Amino acid sequence: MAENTYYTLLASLPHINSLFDSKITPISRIQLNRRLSMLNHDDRRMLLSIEELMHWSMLESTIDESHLIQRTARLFESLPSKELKELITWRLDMRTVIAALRRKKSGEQPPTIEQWSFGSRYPYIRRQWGHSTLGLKHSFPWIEEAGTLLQSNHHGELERLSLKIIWDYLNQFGLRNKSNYEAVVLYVLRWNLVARWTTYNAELALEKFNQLTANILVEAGMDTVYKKTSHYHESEVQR
Amino acid sequence: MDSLILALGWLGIFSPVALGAVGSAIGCSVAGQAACGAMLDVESGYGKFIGLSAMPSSQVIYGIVIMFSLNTIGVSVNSSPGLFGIGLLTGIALLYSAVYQGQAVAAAINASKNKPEIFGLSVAPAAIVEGFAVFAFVFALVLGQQIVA
Repeated sequence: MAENTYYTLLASLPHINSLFDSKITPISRIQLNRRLSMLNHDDRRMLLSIEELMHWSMLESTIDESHLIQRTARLFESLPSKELKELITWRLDMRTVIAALRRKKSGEQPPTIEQWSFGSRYPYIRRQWGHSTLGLKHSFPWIEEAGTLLQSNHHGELERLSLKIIWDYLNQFGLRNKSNYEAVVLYVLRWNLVARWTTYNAELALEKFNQLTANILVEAGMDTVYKKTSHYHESEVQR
Repeated sequence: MDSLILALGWLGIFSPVALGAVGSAIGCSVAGQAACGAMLDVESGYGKFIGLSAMPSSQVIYGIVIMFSLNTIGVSVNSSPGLFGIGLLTGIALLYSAVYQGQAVAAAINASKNKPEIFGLSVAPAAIVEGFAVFAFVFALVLGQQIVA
C-alpha cells in the first residue's frame, strides 16, 4: 500500500479524545476491523503481530515465557520501520521494568538465564537488580512511583499509572507520524488502551470474583462456606 | 547548440503546465482520499469535503495561464534562456505547492470531521500555501514580460 493511500483509512477513523474520560470506544472492534481491511495483506498481518506483542490478552493462554521471548525477537526483526522498532522496544522495556519490580517485590533473586526478558535493557536490569530503581531513574522517571505503588499493594493505581505512561508516549509518538503506516498502528494501539480502560468495572469484577469463589467452594463440597461468603459479599456490595 | 537552446525554451514554456498538473494530481488525490475516508465517519456535510479536496487543482490552472503568456513571446535563441529559467522554476514551485496543499487539505478534512465548528479555520493553512503559489504565478507573469524575443 503506497503511503498516500493511508489517508483514506486514517480519515475514516473517529478521533480518540482521551483515555481516562472515555466511557466507550469511539468505534466498535467490528467496525474498526472493517476499516482496517483497507490495508493490504502484509500490513494487516504485521499489525496483528504488533497487537499480539503489545497486548498479551490476544495471545493464546498456553504460550510459555521462553517461546514468547523467541516469538518477540522474531517479530521485532521483521518490523518494517525504525520508528515502530523504537516504539515496541520502549514498550517491551517498560514491561521488563514492571516485571523486574514485581519479581523483586516477591523476593526473587536476579534472573540466572541470560535472555530472561525482552527489549533492550534486560541485561542492564539484571546487573542493577539490587538498586531500588534498577538504575533506570533517568530513563524511566516514573519507576520510583511505580515501585512505591507496587510495594504498598496499590495495584489499581499502578495499572492506571502504567496506562497513563503508555498513553502519553503514544501521543508523543503520534506527533511525528500523521499519515503513514505508523499512524495506523498507533491508532490501533490507542484504541486497544481505551478498550482496556473502558472494560474496567469494579462492580462487575467483584461479581465475577464472587462467582468464581462460589464455583470453587461448591465444587469442593464446602456449601456452608459458600453461603457464608455469598452473604458476606452481598453485604459488601450493599455497603 | 542552437537546437539545444530552443529545446530548453520549449521546456520552459511547458514546465508550468506539466509540473503544475503533476502537483495538482498528487494534491487532489491525497485530499480526495482523506475526503473519502471522512465520509465513512460522518453522517452529513460530504459536499464540503469533496469541494475542499479540489483546492490543489488551482496550480495547474496557473500553469496553463503562464504557458500561454510565455508562448506569446515566442521561442528564439535570445528568449529561450529566460523562458527556461522562469518556466521551469515556476513549474517546480507549483508542483510542490500543490502537493503540500493537498496534505494541508487532508489535515483540514481530518480536523473538521471531528470538530465541524473549526472548518473555516482549518482551511487557513491550505489557503496560505495557495498564497505562495499565487506569488510564483504573478511574478512569473511580470518577469515574463521582460523577456526579449
